[in-house]
Amino acid sequence: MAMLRRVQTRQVPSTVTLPGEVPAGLSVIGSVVVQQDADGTIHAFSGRCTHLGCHLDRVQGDEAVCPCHGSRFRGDGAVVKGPATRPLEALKAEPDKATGGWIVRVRT
Amino acid sequence: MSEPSGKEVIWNSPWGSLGDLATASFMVAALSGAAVAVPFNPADGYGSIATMLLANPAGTFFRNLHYWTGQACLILTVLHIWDHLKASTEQRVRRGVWLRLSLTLPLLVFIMLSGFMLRGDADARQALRIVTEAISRVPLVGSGLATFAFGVGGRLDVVYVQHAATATILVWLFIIEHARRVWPRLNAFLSVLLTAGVLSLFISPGLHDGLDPIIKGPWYFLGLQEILHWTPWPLTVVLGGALLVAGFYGIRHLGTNGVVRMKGLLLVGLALYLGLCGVGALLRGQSWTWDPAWPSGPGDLKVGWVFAPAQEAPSPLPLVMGRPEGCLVCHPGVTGLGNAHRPEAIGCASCHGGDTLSLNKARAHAGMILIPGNLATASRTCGTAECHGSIIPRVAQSLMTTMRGVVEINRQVFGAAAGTKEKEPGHIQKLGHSSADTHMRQLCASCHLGIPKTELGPIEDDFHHGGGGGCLACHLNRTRIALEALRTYQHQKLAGSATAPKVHPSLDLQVGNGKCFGCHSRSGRISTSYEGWHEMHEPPPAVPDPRDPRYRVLADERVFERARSDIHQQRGLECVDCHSSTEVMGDGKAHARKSTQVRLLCVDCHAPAGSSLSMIPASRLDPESRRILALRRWPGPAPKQFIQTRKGDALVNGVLEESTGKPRLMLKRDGLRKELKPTAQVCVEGAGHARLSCGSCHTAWAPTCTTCHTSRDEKALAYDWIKGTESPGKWKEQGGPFLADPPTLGIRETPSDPANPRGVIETFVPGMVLTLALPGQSGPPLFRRLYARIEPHTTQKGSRSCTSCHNNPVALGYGRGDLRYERTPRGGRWTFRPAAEVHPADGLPADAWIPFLGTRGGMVSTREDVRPFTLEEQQRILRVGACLTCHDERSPVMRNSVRAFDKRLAQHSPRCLMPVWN
Repeated sequence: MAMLRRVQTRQVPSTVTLPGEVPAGLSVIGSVVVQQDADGTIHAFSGRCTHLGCHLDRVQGDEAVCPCHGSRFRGDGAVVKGPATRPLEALKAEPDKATGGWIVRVRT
Repeated sequence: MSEPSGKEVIWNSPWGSLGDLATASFMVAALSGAAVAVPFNPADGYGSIATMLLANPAGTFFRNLHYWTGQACLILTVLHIWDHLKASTEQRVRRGVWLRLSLTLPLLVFIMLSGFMLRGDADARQALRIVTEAISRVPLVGSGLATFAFGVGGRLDVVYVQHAATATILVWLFIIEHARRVWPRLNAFLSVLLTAGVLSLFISPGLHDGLDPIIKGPWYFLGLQEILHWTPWPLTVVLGGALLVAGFYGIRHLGTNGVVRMKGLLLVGLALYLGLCGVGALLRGQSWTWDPAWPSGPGDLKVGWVFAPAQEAPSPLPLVMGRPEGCLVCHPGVTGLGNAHRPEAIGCASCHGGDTLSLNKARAHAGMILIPGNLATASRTCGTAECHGSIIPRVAQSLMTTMRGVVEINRQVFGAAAGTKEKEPGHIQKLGHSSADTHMRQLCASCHLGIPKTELGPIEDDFHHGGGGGCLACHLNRTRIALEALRTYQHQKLAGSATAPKVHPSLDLQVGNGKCFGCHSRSGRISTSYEGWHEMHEPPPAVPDPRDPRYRVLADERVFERARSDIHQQRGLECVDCHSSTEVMGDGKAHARKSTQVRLLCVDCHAPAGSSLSMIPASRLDPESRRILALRRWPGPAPKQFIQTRKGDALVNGVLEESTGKPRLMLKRDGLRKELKPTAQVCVEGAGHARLSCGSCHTAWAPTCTTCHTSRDEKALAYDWIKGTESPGKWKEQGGPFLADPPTLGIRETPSDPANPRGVIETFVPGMVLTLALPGQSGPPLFRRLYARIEPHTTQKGSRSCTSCHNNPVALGYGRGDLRYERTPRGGRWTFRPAAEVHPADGLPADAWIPFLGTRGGMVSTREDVRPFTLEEQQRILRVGACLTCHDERSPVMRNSVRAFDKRLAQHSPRCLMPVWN
């Protein structure tokens, strides 16, 4: 089933290790968009634009921006400006005891 | 293809028909592709092509040939199809062949796109993601089809096989079946080979290095990109493409009318699509925003003789961020840039552009940006996608770039008479040619970040050379060794042969006061006032000796005399110790005035007595603050708590000292810690002074110029700082005298501030008390009497005395003069005799803001949210002043009155002389 899902989504699962002290606010770390709230809570999102899969590589103000077609996403993953209509895929960030950081499972 | 005959007209030439040329292009592309396949490595597409471009001119030639014949094949195929549709030859083709011909179109597009993807550069990776994602949206078969065609995980191995083998073989077979020959005609083959060969010797497609923030794709893909930008449903694009192929196939099967309509539809569709490609190529910029510009990124075409002599390529090639960079072959060992910008880490092209994939000097330096950091090119230098891309848009909006407030108030002052009302927000680089804007162009446009730095060398204190340079205006520091290296280079260049300097100026965060001085020593003169210098209106007849500590002569020959410097300057603080990166480089909003862009308030460092500063833990610092802290590397343990300002920012140099539990300010230059004292108790007690800003008490003096006459000499030439040329019609300002008085006080309206709904008392100086002679104007010159709010940056530890406000005509806005409290039979009466002459335009003393015990309406200030004291407020102030004519300000009665003046007044002695106002 996992193999089938891989074929269906055409993405290869991998992990991204985030540093222990993630920057406050919104940032892009590798293929992950990370939001740290004022209370220190971390939210991880896939860095794939939900419009057509482009890699979100930049943060302007407090929004992650798609370089291909200009979609913009807020720190909670919601779409601020299209053409994307769906929010960024939320990912689970698990504490990494070895590094003190976070392990996020992504599909690239 | 069975060629038509008789009356049908098919384009033909001595080199063959369009079909022959298209077939020949395909064959040359296939053969040159086989040559390119030898050095190409699908596991590292970018690296292998980059190496080819740098060290393998023959490989580059074959790659160029592959590229140009591929483009020719696509274009000639479309023309060939249209040529035959126009001649209506489709009925001569058998149905099965027509079906396969219809499928040749998407196959050809696939070959072109997959070939582009094999570049493996930033453009190609995003194109691969876009196409595979769009195809995978097709229900049931999409995901499998995308995997079959493009593989998974962004790898290029499947793409390579499908491009070089599957699709190429299929198209070749379809061509053979269609043209009924295996090889193209010789004359067509030779003409294509010759033409593309010549092109390939001179024009090479580049590689997108990922630094350029603009991501687009190949030219024929840009129409699709434009459509995708507008549609949230990419599946419609895939289905639209399938419909186009079906429509083309349908031509063979439709009736006469249907065929005509379908051909018309396809022609219009093709024209529209090509138009959209043009839009994408020429009018779209970063993140597909509207930004007209000629395509000139690293991934676009590069012109230059492929076999030109070049530096010998070393093995291995130097790598920067995992990519080969040819610049370091010729320029190794450049030092001085600091750790973050060392060439081994970021290369040369990250800042200077040029062609990193050529070892020929002329080609490598073509398009190079000798002086990076200028705002016009900052998105391609400091602001590349992998560096400071998020900062450049902020700087573009900041007041140091736009000068919006200055531009708009200048237009207001001129506007009523000159008829120049602008609706757009003011921007110094978007000035028109009205009287107001011409005035700005000549007298004010020399100081803004958008002025390009065009000469190598240090940023001078002299404002004529210190007003621009974008990022470099603040961040370029040239050490003595770097300056010597530059001078040597310049001398060598004059002699005819120069070697590029090995020592580079530093790019860092050491932004000293000198960087600010160039611009801020003018107008409000904040820099000079802060350092304790006051400009002399009438300097000594002889230029003062530079060693005379009483005077300072600037590079523009203005003479300053010693005055009291700011307490923060005395304590060693530099401008950047208070003015943070968010404030100076902007927060991304287009502010109309400085006071809204400023982020730090006095109370952010000096907690009101009885309270403490707000703190934020290090773990919650924003990315920019973290980056700054990492670069600063102050000595001692890393602070765990930082001051959080009232506007919500973290103050990276405002820390909580763990050993003492007290807040400290760390000087950004060296990390030296300074005590942050809370305010005095008197600052927070009593209602009488609750509305006073810190500056209204603690400002020692402010530079003022009480009168100014502005006129234009139509015959004289003047330098236009925006155009960079001289033009007739020179604006001249004559002003004076310059005074260094404690500032006038007035009100800044703050109706939405629950703490001060009645406004805050702030400091003011005569901003524009001027007569304005406009060209062609009849009658008397326009007269303005405007005061400006100012933070003079002459803060003193102690405060103004009570009498310096309550008994001071300047503080009240009357101007200099003799303010007296006199005994009359009816009671005390205030009188005022002005020192300045009365201005004929409005009957007020030249230096006054308001009449004595009077008010003014209309335009009274350079800002709309400030005003002078009302009559009632003046009376309240002078009522206290009346008491101060007898009672010393340190006396118990006066000190008690600060807390409850009205209550104390009710207990006044019968001997007290109470003021009467009528």
